[in-house]
Amino acid sequence: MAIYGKIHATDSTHVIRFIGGPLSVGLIQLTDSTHQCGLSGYILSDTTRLPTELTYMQDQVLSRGDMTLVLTDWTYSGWSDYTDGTYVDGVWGFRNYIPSWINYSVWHMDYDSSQYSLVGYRFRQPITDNVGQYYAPMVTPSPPGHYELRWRYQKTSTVYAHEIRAPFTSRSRGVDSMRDY
Amino acid sequence: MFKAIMARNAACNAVIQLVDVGTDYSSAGIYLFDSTDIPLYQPDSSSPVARLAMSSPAFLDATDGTAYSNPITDNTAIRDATVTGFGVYNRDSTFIFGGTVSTSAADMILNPNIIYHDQTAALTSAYYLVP
Repeated sequence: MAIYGKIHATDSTHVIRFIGGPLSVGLIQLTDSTHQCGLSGYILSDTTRLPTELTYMQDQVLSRGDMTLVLTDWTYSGWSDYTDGTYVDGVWGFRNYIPSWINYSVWHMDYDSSQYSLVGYRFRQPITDNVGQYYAPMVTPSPPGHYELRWRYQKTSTVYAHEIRAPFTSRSRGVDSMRDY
Repeated sequence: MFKAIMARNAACNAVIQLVDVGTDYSSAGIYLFDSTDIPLYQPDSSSPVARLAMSSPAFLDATDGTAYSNPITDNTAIRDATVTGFGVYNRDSTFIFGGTVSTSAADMILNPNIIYHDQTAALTSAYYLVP
């Protein structure tokens, strides 16, 4: 900031004045602080659609055993020694794992266009029952029709994320009709 | 320099409202590039990796000098690339702001930032901040 000119300060009355005259110039230049932005995201390596379609009643409260997901991978575990860059004395086997993040969203399929539209919040949090075991604590959408529950998870921050689509039907309780294809 | 929150919000809103400027029926978008020369890159003359459409309005009003984005639509990559830069373009495809992309210490954190053709890029959050 640069100031040119004269300043006369009178302490007793706490008054500060810029005194300008024919030969003095006042200039104040203010510089804004640097603006910032922050974005975060991930990349999906694959999308898997489950072949089976579950059916629930509209407005049904889902709980354990309804819309579930179990994350398992082929893991070398139980190793007790590390020799020449190789883990030894371990065994290979399937084991549940906890991803770095997991969420799910619900999508409704439009009958005419076959396009999906998001229903509600996009980053719903599942409930974990055990290591790597999750279920969706949701209420089945009220409008009857075909839906997809889309799980998204990323095992670690350095690997690609995955999406699993679990189709389900919200069945009418008889109050309103349900269009079909 | 110190600014009142009211001034920070005003400065922030002035920038993010530029993102919604446009005369066509398109939406604002975030383009991913494999270059950091973002201001020089225009989507119509360069080769972006993917375009992720923003909502309308693209951002919520600023609070405490920070404006968070409304939902951003996922999209697939049109080619293999290592994403190193991004740009936010308004509805007229005019560059508004952009920055670097990396797996850490960048304006956009994308893990991993290597994307292959037809893989989906998804953004979970975005904000613009005036300190």
